[in-house]
Formats: sequence, structure tokens, C-alpha cells
Amino acid sequence: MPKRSTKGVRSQKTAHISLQAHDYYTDCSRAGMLYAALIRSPAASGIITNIAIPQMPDGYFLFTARDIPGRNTVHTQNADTPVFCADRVSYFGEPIGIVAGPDESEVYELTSEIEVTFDSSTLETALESVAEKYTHPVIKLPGTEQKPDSDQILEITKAMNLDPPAPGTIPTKPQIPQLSENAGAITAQRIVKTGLFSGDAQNTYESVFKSADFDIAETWIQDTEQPSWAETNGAFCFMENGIMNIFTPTQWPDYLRKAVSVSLNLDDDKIFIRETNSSGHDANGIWRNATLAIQTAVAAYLTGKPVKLTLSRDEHQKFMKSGVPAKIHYRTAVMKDGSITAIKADITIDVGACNPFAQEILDRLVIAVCNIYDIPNICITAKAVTSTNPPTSIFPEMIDSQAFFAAENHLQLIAQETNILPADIRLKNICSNQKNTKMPFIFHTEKVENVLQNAISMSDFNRKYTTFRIDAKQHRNSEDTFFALPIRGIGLACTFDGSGYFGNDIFSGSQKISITLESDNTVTIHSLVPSPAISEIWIKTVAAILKLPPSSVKITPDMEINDILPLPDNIYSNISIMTQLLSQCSLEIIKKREKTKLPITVKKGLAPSLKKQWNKSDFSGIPFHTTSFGAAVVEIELDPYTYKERIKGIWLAVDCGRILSLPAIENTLRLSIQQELSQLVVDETIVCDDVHISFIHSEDNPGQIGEIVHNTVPAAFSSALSQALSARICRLPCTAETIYSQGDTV
Amino acid sequence: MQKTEHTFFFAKTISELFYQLKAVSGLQIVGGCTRIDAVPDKAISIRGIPDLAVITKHERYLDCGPGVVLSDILALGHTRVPDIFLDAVQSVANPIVRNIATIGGNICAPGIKLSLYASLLALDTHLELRSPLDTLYVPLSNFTGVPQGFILSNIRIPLNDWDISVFRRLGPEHKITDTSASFAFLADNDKSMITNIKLAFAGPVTFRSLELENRLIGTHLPLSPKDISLLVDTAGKQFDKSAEEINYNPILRRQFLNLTRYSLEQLT
Amino acid sequence: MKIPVTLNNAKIVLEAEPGDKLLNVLRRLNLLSVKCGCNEGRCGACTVLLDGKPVPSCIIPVALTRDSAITTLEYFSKSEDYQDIINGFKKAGINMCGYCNAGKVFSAWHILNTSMKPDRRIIYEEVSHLSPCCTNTDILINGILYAFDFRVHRMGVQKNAKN
Repeated sequence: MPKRSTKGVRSQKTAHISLQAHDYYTDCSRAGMLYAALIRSPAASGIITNIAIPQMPDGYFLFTARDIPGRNTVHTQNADTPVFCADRVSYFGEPIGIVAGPDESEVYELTSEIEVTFDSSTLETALESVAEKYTHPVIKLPGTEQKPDSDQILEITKAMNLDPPAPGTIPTKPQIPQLSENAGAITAQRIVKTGLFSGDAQNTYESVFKSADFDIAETWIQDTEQPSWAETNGAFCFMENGIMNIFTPTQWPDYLRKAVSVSLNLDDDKIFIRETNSSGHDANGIWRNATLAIQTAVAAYLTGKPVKLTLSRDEHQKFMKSGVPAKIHYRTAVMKDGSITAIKADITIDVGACNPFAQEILDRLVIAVCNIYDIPNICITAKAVTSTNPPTSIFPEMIDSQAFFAAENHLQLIAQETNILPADIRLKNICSNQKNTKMPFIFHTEKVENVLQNAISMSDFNRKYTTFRIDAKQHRNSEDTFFALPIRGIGLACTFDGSGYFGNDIFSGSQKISITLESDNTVTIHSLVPSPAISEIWIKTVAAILKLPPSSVKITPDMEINDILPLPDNIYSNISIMTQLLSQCSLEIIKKREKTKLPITVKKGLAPSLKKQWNKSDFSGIPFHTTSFGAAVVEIELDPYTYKERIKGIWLAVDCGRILSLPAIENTLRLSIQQELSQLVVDETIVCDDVHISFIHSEDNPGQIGEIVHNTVPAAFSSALSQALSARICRLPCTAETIYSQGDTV
Repeated sequence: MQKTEHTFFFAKTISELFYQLKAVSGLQIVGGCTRIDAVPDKAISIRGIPDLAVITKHERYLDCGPGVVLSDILALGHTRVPDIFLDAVQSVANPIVRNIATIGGNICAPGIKLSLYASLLALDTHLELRSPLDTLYVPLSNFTGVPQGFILSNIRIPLNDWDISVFRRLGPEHKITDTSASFAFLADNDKSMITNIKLAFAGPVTFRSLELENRLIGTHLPLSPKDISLLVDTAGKQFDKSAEEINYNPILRRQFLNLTRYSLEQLT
Repeated sequence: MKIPVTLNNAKIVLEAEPGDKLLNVLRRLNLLSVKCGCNEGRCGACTVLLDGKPVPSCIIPVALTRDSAITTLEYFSKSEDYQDIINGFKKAGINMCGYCNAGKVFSAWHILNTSMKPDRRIIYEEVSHLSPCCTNTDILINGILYAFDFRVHRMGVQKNAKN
């Protein structure tokens, strides 16, 4: 059983039964509740010397860093961030205060009337960055319009309590802002060099590439963002009987409780966290949510009233953005036969003002950037830099995808340059013998060829690729502009989806589970209740092994109401690891049943020897507990008249080990594909005529498939689009302008 | 940013509507109000006026009140509504928005012309504008807005059969941006001769390509690639003339020319 | 402003600014099945029935609903039609997340009410705009088709019972 920090306060049960249970914090309310809104810095940098709202009405409150009872700090891993910015602004929109009051629209009105005074020595920077962005903090009210630049700047000077510039001196375009002292600082790094690159000599690099038949370089950027219409982030807090109650979509309640305790100067047992639904992929409930919860809790603590803070959709999209922007420059040395002799990859990620998980994100990108290919000489330099963008976080569902986007698109480019079929290029370079490989990262690639061949034959990839290539060439060379047929392209991508990463103890440290075969022959799985799909898989797995009906198996958290698990929630529902542990528990029960009386409880955890397969100091070995593989083919068709894209088909082949529930896995993949199609082109959802999914039969341990679609489809799509347009699409999402400007030359 | 105070008025009959419009200065009529960010400060809803939400089918035209919601038009089906107009209605937003959005609101929306405009323009739609004392019939091609003291009381859509009907909505599906527009093309031919043709474009730039239409009527089919290129050039010039002093996204011009070419190819 | 409406079959007078979104007004009345999603009338999270038609309450000023009948999911969930839909969804293996329920249920109901025999293409056109937060469109279509079967069966049984 995972270690719990148990400080139950049984008397609190009464208080919580009286409050109507809601799945979403936005549905919570209490008599006398105040609505809250954040005051945000209008500049990306500068030193604030004063914040004031003129004429605060009765019953309305403004709190800033000075009002925090405890420390103005949120401590996450090795990073400290302020609850409210006290003086030096780190990023545009950084919260500098919170306004609370009984009328929601009045609260928003008040936030737009703030006066923020900046230190004059940092004025130029602040002024420039404001002119570039917004006149007011980001609370969008209906009926407002964007004003021309000169008016904006006048408003800024008024908001900053400055004398307006003399007439005729207002710049019509903002100048490039100076970076603050922390902007561009490297916050995490990773360098991996093998083969000839280990020597670090510059002439070695060049000689490797010079000796190759093809030296192919390109920069790839994937910054897709899925439209999200789920509940925006925020919190609902109130004090009752000396206990601070926090209802919020946190995914790490233990961390949140500790953080609140520090900021409010309250003991842990005076804080009750109620996790509400984390809806949507961008829930951002690992650490960013904690800051919002603390801000709300401060307001509730100081006013003595219930307070609800709900971010507007605009705020949620700007300041709680999912993913981390990454730019990957890839350079490969390739021989005529298609074998890749060297890769030099430079990865830069912008973590915004702060990201406590920057190292892990970087490490995962480094591991993914060479994918499953066996390259004798690799040089990967990766760095995470800060900027004046809002802080970012870690999203397990999309952590490697940008590296795969670069790798798979680059493979497609290599295929084009070398005139070798994309599938053949991949098969040529896949690691076939792990014993002889020089790659630092080891994956069990035995089934990869199967997966690839499956996707290729399902989609008739080779024939279509060749045909479309010839068509594209004819379009380019033809002087006849009398065209009628749609333009087509087809792309291929294959990637892995690793789960149970051994490189970070927080996310793979303490996975344990226990089950009890009760005296009445029912089974209790002691765990947080996961999603219905995973619950069904766990119940069926245990029932099948113990030869009991599924109805006799139940999952019970087995926790006191105030108990909190120490790790993020998604650790406890990791399907691959936890399902294996459950199987092991069940098999152990079968052994013990013959000798021991009921009830029998068995606990299992991740064996330490497994974690040792990954060498943290060398950054090498087997990085994941389980790895699934997927290959996707995307065929697109462009309307030559409107340049509108249409996907003729997506073929997905997956090897994820033993399949525990075919309907659940199919639904997950189809849903992922549907979600993916709404983020490949800005403001558009691409229609897809047909989706075909095939699974490679396997009795291996089940692996996760949550990232497979996000890892493969964008790369396959951009490759297909590149072929259709006879141009290189290096960046997603693309826009109508991108397609238009490329398509116009077809 | 000041909170905008809205005032709403209501009318149950057309006479009441006229009365309110006269009594309250600056009052604007609203239909489904689907563009909530553009609700006027003083608005009067026609939702409660049944006379303005009637659809009547005659032998050669369809009369739609401005308060008719788009889903009701779709419910009539292809047998009673011109295909091109039905395609245009289908392209608006999504089914739940179409349950509240009105045809009058779509036509009268300020700024970029919305999705129904091109098809109605191509169909030679006429608008009935009514005041307490007068009734005007204005072709949509001459429509520049509802004059003071008048209301849009009816939209008359001719019902003709067309051999070729092309409609395309341009730009994002669920938003109106600077790349949003609609294209409509209708043509009839008889014994390899074009007997009737309509070409319309509506968005940031809105026009009927009358010069092209006049050139094509009476032309024998098939059109050669060279003819099509020349005709597309003519259409381009018409576009440029209508777009003088208008800021538009160049994609739209390209798409218009491409669609014109496509439509002319359909004739061939 | 006072706005008389029939809300969930009860005549009441709403007191709100005329420009207030219907979504916000309903949530203030504790009708929480109406959720704030895209704010553009697209995702369906805020869907209610207005005079029997599903509409997005996030883009409708409350003043426009004067003298209209508004039905939210709280009230609709007591009906037999709702049960048919839920049974159909259950059979298709749909587990709604709770945020998108109004859009999916009311869109399903609208299809069942207006189509004699809905086919996949018609259903797809009606539901493809809904937020794909927890259910993909194919499975949603399956659910609606099952719901149709349940409804036909129930109405057949009721008709026979009357006879």
C-alpha cells in the first residue's frame, strides 16, 4: 500500500456530509460566498512599487503578497515561486493580487481599474512589454474592442501613473523589449554523446557529416494545442471550525496541502483537500493549480468567507497552457543505402518563468529524439530556458511528442532526399540487435517491424507514396494550370509510448498495491478508484486469475476522509505497472490460499532491480518499465481550389502487449485521433473519412497507449502535407496562410 | 473597461415594433443574438413577433420572414429550398446555433458578410423593407442596410432549377475571421449554350460578378482552357475593383479565382 | 430587468441584466447541469431546450428568452425520453464525464424527436460539433442509435398497453 500521510480528523466528516457533493468545483457554493479574480501584471518584467484600486466598495477586498499570513512561496521540487508577485515581475500576467467580493461582474470591473506603479528605472522595459501585449490584465469583458497602438500606450501610461509622452513622440510600433535578468537562463541541461562525438572535437563533427553521402538538416517545431472546453482551473475555499477546506481539481493533493500549510501558517491537519474532477487534458493539476488554490485560500482565510476563484477561458488558455514549446534542430549524416551514420540534435525548450519539472521533460525529449533507431554516432544537446512567458508544467500525455515530431519528419525528409521509401529507411535503421547497439537507450524492438509492416500493408503506403510523389512532380513541372484533381499526400510515423519512467523518483518511485481475498470469497483491491475503463480492466484481471465472478471484486480507497496519498494521482492508476502488480498479487494469493486461512492480503511493489536497469548517472539503459509501439499512416487530400484539408484515412497499428479490454483501448485511440484532428490546423477541425486500427497480438505485459496517437499522427500528417504541397512543413499547427502560400505554387 | 449596460425592449406585433423604434432613439433590432459580443446597447427583439417568422412557399419564390431560424429552413429540405441556399444554411456554425440564429440576423450583420449572403446574392434575392407608411422592394445586390424608420419584413428567394450549383464557405468553420467568406455559382445550360449564370462572393469583399455573367450568357460550351483563363482574369478584375480601399486577406482573392475556375470547369 | 419565463415547467420571473448570458443566470439559480465551456456556442456544455429546441445558453442574452419555455437537464432527466437515451448510451459503453452531458443528451433527444429513422450520417451532422472530451463521435452515434431502439420499444409497449 502506498505510504499515506494520515492525520485523520474524524469530526470533520460531519462538516463534509452537510456540504452537497459536487464533481466540479465551479458548481460549489456556500451562503455568503465571494467571487474572486486575479490582478495580473500588465508587463512581462519590471519592479512594482504599488498596487491600488481606487474606491473599493464595501464588502470588496484586495489582497497582495503583503497580506499572506505565512510565506509567499510555493515550493515545488527544487523551485520556489511566489504566490503573489511582491516586486519583480517574472512574466506577463503574473498574479500580483486578488480581488474578492459578492458580485462577480463587479469584481471583474474592479480588476480593470487597478493602478499598478512600476519603478521608473525599469520603466522602459515595462512600457515596451506592455505596449507589445495588452493595455489591461487579461480579463476579457464582452463589448470591448482593441484600440489602436497610440491609444493603447496612452492608457498604459495612465495605468502606470506616468505623465503621458509629449504629442508626436508616441511610437507607432513597440520596440523589442529587453530581457529581464532571468530571461533566457538555462534551467536544465542534458548532453548525450556517443561514438565519434564522444571526443568533443569540432572537426570530428564536420568530418562525420562531410564523409556522408547526404547531410540533411532541418528545424522542427510542434506547438499544437488541443481546444479545450472543460472546466477552467481555479478553486473554492472556505474556513469552517478552524479547518481550511479546499475544493479544487488538483492531481497532487499531498503537495497542495503542504504548500497551503506554508502559506497560511496552518498545520497540515487544519487543511482539508477535496479533489474535484480534473476534466480535460489540460487540467494542469500537478503544481500550477496549487498556486491558484493558495491564492483563493488566502482570500478565504483573511475574509473568513467562502471564496471561489474561476479563471476565465482566456486566462486558462494563456496562463495554464498545456505542454512546453520546443524547437528541435536535427542534422543527420546519411549514406546512399539509407543508413544513418550520425545524428546531431539540438533541443531547446521554453519553460516560461519556471517549471520545476524541466529536467524530466528535457530528459524525456532526449530519450525520444532518436526514437527506436540505432545510430552509431549521436550528439544530443538539450537545454531548458526560462523566459517571460507564464510558467509551464509537466503533462504526462504529451511529454515526448515534440521529439517524435522532429525525428519522424526528419526520417521522411531523408527518404525524400535519398529516394528510398520511408518504410525502408526506418526498417534499415531500427535497432535489430540490442547487444551490439551503441545507443544509450534500449528498447525492446522485436515487434516494431511487425507494427510497421502492418501499418504499411493496411494503408497500401508504398504504392500510394510513390504515386503521389510522381503526381507532385508532374504538378510542379507542368505548365498547364488547368487542374481539377485534388492534391494528395501520405505520411508515416512510428514511435514508442513508454510508461513508468525510471529517471524520476516522483513519478515512478513508490508504486505499490495490495489486494485482500476476504473471508466471503470477495476480493478488495486497495487503491484509489481509477477511471471506469481502468477499473474494469483491473476487476477483470483479478477475477480471471482468481477464477471469481467480476461482481465479487471491488476497488476501495481504504482511506480516511482526510487521508492523502503522497504522489500525484496518475501514479496510482498507471495501467501498465499497476495491472502487472495486481496480477502478481493475484498469483500470490492463489499460492497462499492452499496454506493460509482467509482473509489473505498480499502487497506488491515495483522491484528495485527493475529500476536499476536505468543508470541515472550515465543516463543510459532501459528507461521505461513498459514500452508500447505504434505506427500511423495518414493520407490527406487537399482541395486545390480552397486548400482545405481532408484526411482520407488514418491507419494505426499498435503493439501494446496483452490487451485487457479491446473496446476500451479502441475507444481511447479513436477519441485521441478525434482530439488530434482539432489541433493540426489553427481554427479548424480536419474531417477524417476513415480510421483503421489494428493490434499486434501479444502476451507481453500490457503497456500504455495514451500517447501513441499524439506521438505519431502529427508527424504523419505533416509529412503527408509536405508531400501534397511539395514543400517542407516544419511546424505545427499550420495555418491557412501556410497552406495557401505553399499551395499557391503547386 | 466600462461595463456596458444593455436595455432590451420587446414587441409582439409589427405595429408595436414600429412604435418602439419611433419612441426610443438608437434602438436596434436583434434576432437570435448569436453574436453576444455585438449586442447593441438598446435592442429590441423580434422573437416574439410571429408575423416575422413565417415561411411561405409560392410557385416561383420562397418568402422568409427575418425571424425565421435557420434550422426551420433546413427542415424544409431540398425539395422546397434551392440547393445552394440549403448548403449555405448548413454551413452556418452548428445545429444548436442554427436553432436560434435567424436569416434576418445573418443578412443584416454588420462588418464581414456572413455565410448566407453569397448564395442569396446569386439567387437574386429581394428584400422587403417596410415602414408604417411605405413598403420597398430592394434587390440584395443593392442592399446597404435597413434605412431609418424601416424594418426588414420579408426575404423573397426566387425558386429556379439550376443545372450547376456550387457553394463554398471559406475560412474556419466555427468562427468569423478575416479569411471568412462565401462563394456561390449558379448556371443553366441548354443545348450546349449557357442560358443563365450567376456568380457571387461575400465576405470582407462582396459583389456579384455581373460583367462575367454578361460575357458568359449565350456562350457555347465547352469552354476551352484559354477561355476559362480569360474569364477568370475578368473575374479577378471585378474582384479588385470591388475590393478597392478594402483591407482583405490575399488568400480570399486566390480562393475566389480558384473557385471561379472550378465552377467554369463544371460547365465544361 | 424582470423576464417572465417558463423554467422547467414552472412559470417564474427571472431578475437579471438583459445582456447577461442565459448560462450565468441559470447557474445562479443553481441549475448546474448547464456548464461553461467554449463560450462560443460550439461545445454543447451549456445546452438547454428553448421552446423545445436545443440551444447554446452561453451566447443567448437572457432578455431574449422572455415568454419562452426553458428546460434544463435537471428537469429533463426525470423524463422517459432521458431514460431511453441513458440506456442507449450505457449499451454503447459511453461514460460521460459530467461536463458535456447537456450537449450530448439534448442533441440525442432532438435527433430522436425529429427523425423517423435516424441514420449515421444524419446523426453525425447533428453531433460532430460537440466537444470530444470523453466520447468519440462514432460511439456517440452508436449510443444514439441504441437510444432510438429503446425509445421505439418503449413506445410500442405503451401503445400496446393502451390498446
